[in-house]
Amino acid sequence: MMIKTARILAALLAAIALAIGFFYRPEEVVKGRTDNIWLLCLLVIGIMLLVVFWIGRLPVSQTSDPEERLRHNLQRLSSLLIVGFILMSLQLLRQQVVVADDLQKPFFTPQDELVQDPRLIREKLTNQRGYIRDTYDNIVAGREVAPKTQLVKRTYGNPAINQIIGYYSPLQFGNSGLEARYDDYLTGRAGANALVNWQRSLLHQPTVGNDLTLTIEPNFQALAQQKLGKLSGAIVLLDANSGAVLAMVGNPNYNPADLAFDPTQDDNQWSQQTKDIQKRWEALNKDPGIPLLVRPTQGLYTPGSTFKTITLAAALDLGLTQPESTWNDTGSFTVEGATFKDPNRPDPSRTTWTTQEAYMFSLNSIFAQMGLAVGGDNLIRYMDNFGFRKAIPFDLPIANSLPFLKAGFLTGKAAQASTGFGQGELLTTPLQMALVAATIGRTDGAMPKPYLVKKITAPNGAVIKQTQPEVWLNPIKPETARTVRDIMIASATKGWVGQSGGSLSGSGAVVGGKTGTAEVGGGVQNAWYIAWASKGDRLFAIAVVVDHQPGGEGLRLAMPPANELLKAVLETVK
Amino acid sequence: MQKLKNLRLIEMQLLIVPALLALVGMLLVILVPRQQVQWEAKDLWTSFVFIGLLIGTHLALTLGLPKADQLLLPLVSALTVFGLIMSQRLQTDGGSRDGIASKQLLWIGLGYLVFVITALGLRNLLLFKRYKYTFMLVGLVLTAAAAVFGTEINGARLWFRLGAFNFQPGELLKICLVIFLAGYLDENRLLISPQRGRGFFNLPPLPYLGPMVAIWGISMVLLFVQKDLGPAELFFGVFLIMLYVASGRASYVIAGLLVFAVSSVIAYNAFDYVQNRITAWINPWPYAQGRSYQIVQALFSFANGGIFGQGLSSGAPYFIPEVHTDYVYAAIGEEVGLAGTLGIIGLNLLLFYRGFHVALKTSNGFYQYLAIGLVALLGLQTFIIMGGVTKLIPLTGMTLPFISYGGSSILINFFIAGLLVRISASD
Repeated sequence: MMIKTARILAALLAAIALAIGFFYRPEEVVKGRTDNIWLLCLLVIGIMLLVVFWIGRLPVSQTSDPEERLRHNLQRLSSLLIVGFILMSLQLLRQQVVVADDLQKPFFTPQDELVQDPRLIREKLTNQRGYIRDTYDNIVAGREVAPKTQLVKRTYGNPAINQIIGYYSPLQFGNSGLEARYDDYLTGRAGANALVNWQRSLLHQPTVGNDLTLTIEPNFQALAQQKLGKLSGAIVLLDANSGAVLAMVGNPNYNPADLAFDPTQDDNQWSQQTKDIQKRWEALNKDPGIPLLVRPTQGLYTPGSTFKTITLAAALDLGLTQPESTWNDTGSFTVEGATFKDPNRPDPSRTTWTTQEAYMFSLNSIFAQMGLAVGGDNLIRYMDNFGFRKAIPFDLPIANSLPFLKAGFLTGKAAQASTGFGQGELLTTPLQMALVAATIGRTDGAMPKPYLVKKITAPNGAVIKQTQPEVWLNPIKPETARTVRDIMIASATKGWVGQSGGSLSGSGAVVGGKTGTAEVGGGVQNAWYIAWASKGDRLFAIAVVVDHQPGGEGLRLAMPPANELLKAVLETVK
Repeated sequence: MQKLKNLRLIEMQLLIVPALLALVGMLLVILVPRQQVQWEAKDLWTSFVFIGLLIGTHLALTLGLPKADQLLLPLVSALTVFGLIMSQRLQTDGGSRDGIASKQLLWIGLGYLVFVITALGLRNLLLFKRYKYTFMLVGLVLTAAAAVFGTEINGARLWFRLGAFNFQPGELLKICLVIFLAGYLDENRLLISPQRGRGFFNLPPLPYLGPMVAIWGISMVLLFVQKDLGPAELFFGVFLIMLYVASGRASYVIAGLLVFAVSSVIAYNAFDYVQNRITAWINPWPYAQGRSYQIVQALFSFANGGIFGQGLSSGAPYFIPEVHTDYVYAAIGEEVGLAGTLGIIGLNLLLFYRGFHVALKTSNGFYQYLAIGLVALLGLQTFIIMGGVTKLIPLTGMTLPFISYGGSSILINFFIAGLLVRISASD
């Protein structure tokens, strides 16, 4: 019994040691390629296996029968042999499967020499990676094949689009952005020519990838980048009917060309080149501006007054208020000891305002009351309806928008009030708010599913995949959407937005818009503007955020670039 | 019926596997570089010669030793065919490896000849026992002569150059050692029966202490001369294994291991080359462009193999220097993957167990020890070189039995296989 337990225990210990050896790989172990932990685990496994094999087998034979003794000794010897080769098999399993991928990454010796698997370089760098094109078929990311060596270099065509393309660094850092999401298509592992490419890669011939065509409008993209200038922030411009992304820029950003390895260069430059790229990579990672963050989809910002659109939609959808219902606003509102000042009233002597006017002039006191009226649970429900706490189905990595940081936050009245006018613990992405604007502009209460890749084509031009516009969510009733739409138009014509030229008169479009100025502490603000513009059968939605600016009012910093961009877009519509 | 029993049908059926491997493997290795499916029968001449060798050996055994073990020849042939295919595959990358396939085939042919002669010709193995001291002496003298007069290859003076071929007497010394130990332990069997003094740290009786010290001394000399841990490990390991099997005393083994450990520590502190091997084992990466270039390239090779490998002739094992001798296992790992490396481990284990089986079946004490010693020799050498190239243990230069390219190694291993077959036929 004891022996059996000891044997089971030893086997268990061996299994644990194996699991640790295979899967416990802290960063410094992977980076330094040290195997001490693994070798130690192997030692433990070996000893434990010997215990399993030896314990309880015939006690050391006292018999004088030489045959019996020989048999016994040979048995022990065989178990030693088998344990040795089991360890060998485990070592092989680890080297050939478990850590095989890690071994193929580049390594720098203490003398700063580059060590890299010569095979991998060849295989990865001869892949004729697919083109990425903008909506007019201009090449955004292309390739250049060296005639003799067949090695392929990634080239870039339009600096304004680069960040969402992502970096391509198969030998060093992997890929990001579209290069990562569509890697299988771009390399050719997926798609119409997958079988052919698999064959070619088996035969070590260059493989050819599929091409992506984006929905990005290069002119709008360039204009958006230009209007954002050096300011930190993001702009997202959507075709609100289909969900196609026409422009998407974020600041600060980076140029993937800086991280692209050029294999067409001379061999003896490779080590230096890799080192230079490594340095630029480390610099990008240390940059306090976080240029590697794709702000339009991953940047989380307090939405400020633009969020009032969701509070308003919730209150109307629940039937708690009507556009002409009146509210009291005495310049400040106090609940549970928290006082919210209201600096936005156009006429400080007037204390009664309608719901529509409250939205037009962004009256915090009234939206605080509206937040209370809607209540914590319903606020959360409508935020979820609009896509908060969900990963937006999109072609780039997404940060989920958040209704609160601490669970239970919205059970407090002060929290409900401050969330009502867009502060609280709210955090949201520019893409999320652009989708909110699109939903209101559409009149059917539906939120489109955004997309960036229009189609995927094989090298011969055959279409592999064509994106069809889809509805993602239905946050509110269509009649609610139409009411909110009217109120947004009123805001853009008669409210603060309208008084600053937000109606885009002369463009021939109907426009609805809302600014936001979110307090983020430290005397700086996030300036926001969301809007939609409808002309003919076209509908556009836009969200602009300029973050952490002193005096970062939506009207002053976020609305002007949005208006410029919308004007340019509307001019293209007959 | 009696006639049919003498036909060795099991062996015949099993030999189909290495024969097919030779045809298919060779075809792949020849066709892939050509990139087209087009060949003539004469392209496969090495395979046909190899199959001829299999048939010839099989017939010789059927006629001469019908009762001998039927699994040893197929197992040895399956391992050998890997060596043949890999030498053909690795010579296509040209350079210094040009023409190694036909040379390897020549050695394999001679190997099968040695195999048949040993199995059929050595009618009275007990002569070995009688002349055990002579064997030991001859082995030592040859090795010493090589160390003094031999040609220096890769920094070690262990070779005689005979025309185009190099001969390594160290390979012969291994066999001499096993023959000597088998005879010696069998002779002193009664002295070392377990009934004698059972204290744990009792000094072993003189008949054990004597050879123990002597062989330890030989191992140390080898360590100095060959500048390598491998032969020392092999010799001392085989000695300890045979000692254990004969005496059943773990304490002797532990004492022996302690002695070996202490001398290893001294060697580690005294010699740079031992230190280099150890540091390269613990972490070769910092020296990957220098002294551990070879092992790092081998690790890349294994990593590229994955589970099923790149396919014969489709990998790039030629990045490893000297891949066809010590590192042939890495080339197999890359092109046939984990499936291939584990398969070779399996074949080897089957071979070892068959060897133990032979030892248990015979009733002669000398034969038992001889068979166990020979298997220990094969097993330990396989483990040391496989473990070395997979970075399981510190690397030491050695050939992979039956697979690595190399003349003396092939001949000696076939000699060992022949002895095992011979023993299996004795009652």
